[in-house]
Amino acid sequence: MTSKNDTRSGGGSLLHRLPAFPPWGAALIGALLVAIVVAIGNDAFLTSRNLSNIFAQTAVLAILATGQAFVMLTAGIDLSVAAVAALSATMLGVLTVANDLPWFVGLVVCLVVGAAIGALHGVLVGRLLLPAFIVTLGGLMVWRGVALQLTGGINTTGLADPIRWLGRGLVAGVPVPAIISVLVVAVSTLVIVKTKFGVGLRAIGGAEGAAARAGVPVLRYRITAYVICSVLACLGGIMLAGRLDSAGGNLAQGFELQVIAAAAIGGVSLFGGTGSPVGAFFGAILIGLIQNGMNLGGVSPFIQQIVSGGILVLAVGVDQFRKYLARRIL
Amino acid sequence: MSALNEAMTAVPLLEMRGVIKRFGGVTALDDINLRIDPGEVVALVGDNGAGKSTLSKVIAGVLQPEDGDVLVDGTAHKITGPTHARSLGIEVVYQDLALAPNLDIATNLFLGREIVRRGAFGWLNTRRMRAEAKEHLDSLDVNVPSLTTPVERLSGGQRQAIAISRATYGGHRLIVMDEPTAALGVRETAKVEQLITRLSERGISVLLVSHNMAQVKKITHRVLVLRRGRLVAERRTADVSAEDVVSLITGAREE
Amino acid sequence: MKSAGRKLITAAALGTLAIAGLTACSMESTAPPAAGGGDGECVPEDLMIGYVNPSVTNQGWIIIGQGATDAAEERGVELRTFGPPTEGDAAGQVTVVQDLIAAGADALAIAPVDSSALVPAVEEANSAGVPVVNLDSYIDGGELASFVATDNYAAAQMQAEAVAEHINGTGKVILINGSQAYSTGRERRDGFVETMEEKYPDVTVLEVETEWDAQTAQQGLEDLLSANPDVVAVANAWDGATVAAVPVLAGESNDIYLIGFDGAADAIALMLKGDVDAIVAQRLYDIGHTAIDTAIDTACGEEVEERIDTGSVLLTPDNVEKFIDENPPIMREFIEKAS
Repeated sequence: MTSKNDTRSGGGSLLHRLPAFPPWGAALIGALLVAIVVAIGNDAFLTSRNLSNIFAQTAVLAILATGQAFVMLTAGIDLSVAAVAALSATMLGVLTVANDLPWFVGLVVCLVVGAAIGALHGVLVGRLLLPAFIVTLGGLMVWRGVALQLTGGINTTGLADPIRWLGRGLVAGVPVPAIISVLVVAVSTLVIVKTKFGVGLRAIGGAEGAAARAGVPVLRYRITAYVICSVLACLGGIMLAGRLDSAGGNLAQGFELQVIAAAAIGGVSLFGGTGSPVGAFFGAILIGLIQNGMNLGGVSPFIQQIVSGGILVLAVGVDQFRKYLARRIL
Repeated sequence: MSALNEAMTAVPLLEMRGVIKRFGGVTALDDINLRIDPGEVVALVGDNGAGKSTLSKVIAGVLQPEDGDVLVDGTAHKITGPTHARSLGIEVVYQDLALAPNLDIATNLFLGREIVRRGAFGWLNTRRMRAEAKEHLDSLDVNVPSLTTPVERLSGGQRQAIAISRATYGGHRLIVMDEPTAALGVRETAKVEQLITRLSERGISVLLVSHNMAQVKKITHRVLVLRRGRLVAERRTADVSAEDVVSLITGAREE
Repeated sequence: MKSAGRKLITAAALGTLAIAGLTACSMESTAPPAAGGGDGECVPEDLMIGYVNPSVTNQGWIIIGQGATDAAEERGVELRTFGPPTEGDAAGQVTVVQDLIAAGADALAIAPVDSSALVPAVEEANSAGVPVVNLDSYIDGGELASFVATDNYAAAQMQAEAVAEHINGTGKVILINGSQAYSTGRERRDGFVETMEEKYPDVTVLEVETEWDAQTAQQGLEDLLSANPDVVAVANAWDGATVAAVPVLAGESNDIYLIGFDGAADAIALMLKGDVDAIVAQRLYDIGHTAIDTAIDTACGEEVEERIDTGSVLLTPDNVEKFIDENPPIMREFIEKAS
């Protein structure tokens, strides 16, 4: 007797296949479109140097957006990522330059502090049930304040060579930050799609009550998601400081909005349950392409902001339309 | 409806003796005595506020009784919570189905108890889960387009079927269901009723809380009538008519 | 029901009383307090000067702040320094000004976040009879006792001349601009660009627009350099960008002239290391010092100059040490901390 249950997505008409289009598809297509538009307008775009720059420049955004994706999957949000990045970079500067500690000690300390910050966020949100928006908004102000307080507002320059290598080094001609960002995105995607933890995160975002009743360790997974987000924020902050060769409390000011936009453009839903770091990656690339195109064309940053904001709304609209289409077809 | 052991089995699957549940000054369940045998489909009926929901929750381990014994397979247990109840083989299909709509069918079937490969990372054994899901659904004759379909894209009846399949996977023997077809259309209701019957044929018992007398008549073996916390009547379904049951519920007829 | 109605009326009455009471209190506090001595009769210990800065995340502001603090100490007056809660928060700055007026400041020194947003705050100070000294970035409205700042336009002209001389009046130059919403941003751009346009037509200026943030500056520089590898000089409107430019230029094969603006400690540290060719330095310490000095004078009812140019100096490796020595020791401290 033929089983009516197929373990693979069946064939069927094109219309039936269309909703299987992944959430990050829109970001990828958008990025390609923008790339084409910019390439037509600027001869300087399609050079290996410029393209390499773009991947290097957007690496930090991609990494922070990936961390954000973990949290957004649980229907949470982390507004403090840029502040945590700044704090971690500032700490690294203070430890390694002002106090002459070896760079890897500084690096480890910063990542550990980041994990602690993430755990704190996770406990406040998951155990005390405070809204993530409020907790991390407070974090945004507090952690940046701590960073500024640490150095009295002074930026540290002259960071150790390995740190600067993280931000600006090359391996076989490929920028190190680009390699790191691709690795982070790849590993994160595997975790979210192919592990029990990843399934649990998505279940928490999709139907927390059901997940809890099914035996998913909601509190533990939620805290882990916030820890991952903060640790990746620290990594990004250190890479950015290495790239600028400047570590201080004003690093990545206001960057959190770009981070959330990158994730949302990439199809990671603010309501939880859907999305993947691959989307965050393409969302970051899309934003980077717009910035690159504007810089090459000499367009003012005000217009850049308008365009980026418009793309964000458009991307989320496309994603909603895709879901709507899926429901109508069945 | 056959396959039910004609002679009552010696040891009932579930038995309650003198169970009392109070909330402050209110007695929600008063001296409940019942038994459910393997493979039986038992209807639990009563008016609003009669105590159906409380009784289901006591069986499911969500609430603990003040007095009385709950026996599973003849042994008395103090069921401390839903996880404990699950380990005793009792599972509940909730109104909201406890499904994650954004995840696919196979993932939902295994939610919270995924099959993982050896090693520390919790790496999913997706192929095996899909194969076992397919097997389980086939055995219950549940039809779905594809195991990778997100549950939110299924019809209400299909979702109910998945929720029931999930509850029965893993050797659970008593499934408590609260109005499973209340929100479904005629065709889908029929399908779910067939599924319940198949469960019973496989020796799984079902406690069906229902207001739908036609459904009760169609698929249940026995009817338990609750009124104001007391079990006022117990009948074999074959022996009563729908009107009789209604009268028992409202008290127009006494036991 | 009757009782509900009574409760409603009681609540409304209490509410009205509360609002009336609060209004009365706040009205009292916005009335100008009696100044200690008022006209010419100046007792320093009784004076309180309010200093409002844009925020303290930029090192330049720390040196300005040091000048301000020293001036207050030298003359024995109380100085209260505040910035808005977050950088660039104009509304927050207005609130700070209002709070200082309410606290009884005898004079205010304001460095605005935004040239037009602070006008209402100045007007409030005017009506409260509190004199206002404006520093760094111009406030275009209200009555200002004095404007103490670097002539940014002239300084930017100096910057353009330095570049032109180094590149022999011809070639491509990248100019990294600050926010054009600030008068300082506009003046520094115009001074540079107009000098090039008028005197050195063979110089092409490629511009990067930023909101005073180093990341955007660096990205813009990288992108333009990749499109124009034959650039011979990079000029920055502030030293946050200068510092961010150093690692980019380090990767370039040809020698590109790098000139900054401000004279911040981290940029000077890099110049001492040989990574920065020149800096048009503001006399940041003097700005703070003169601003507070002038504010104290106005509080005492004295006449002050309307426009005080604190000047700028072109720093090169030859004269930078002398510049550091001329400044208070805190600058050398900062430079050491930054390297």
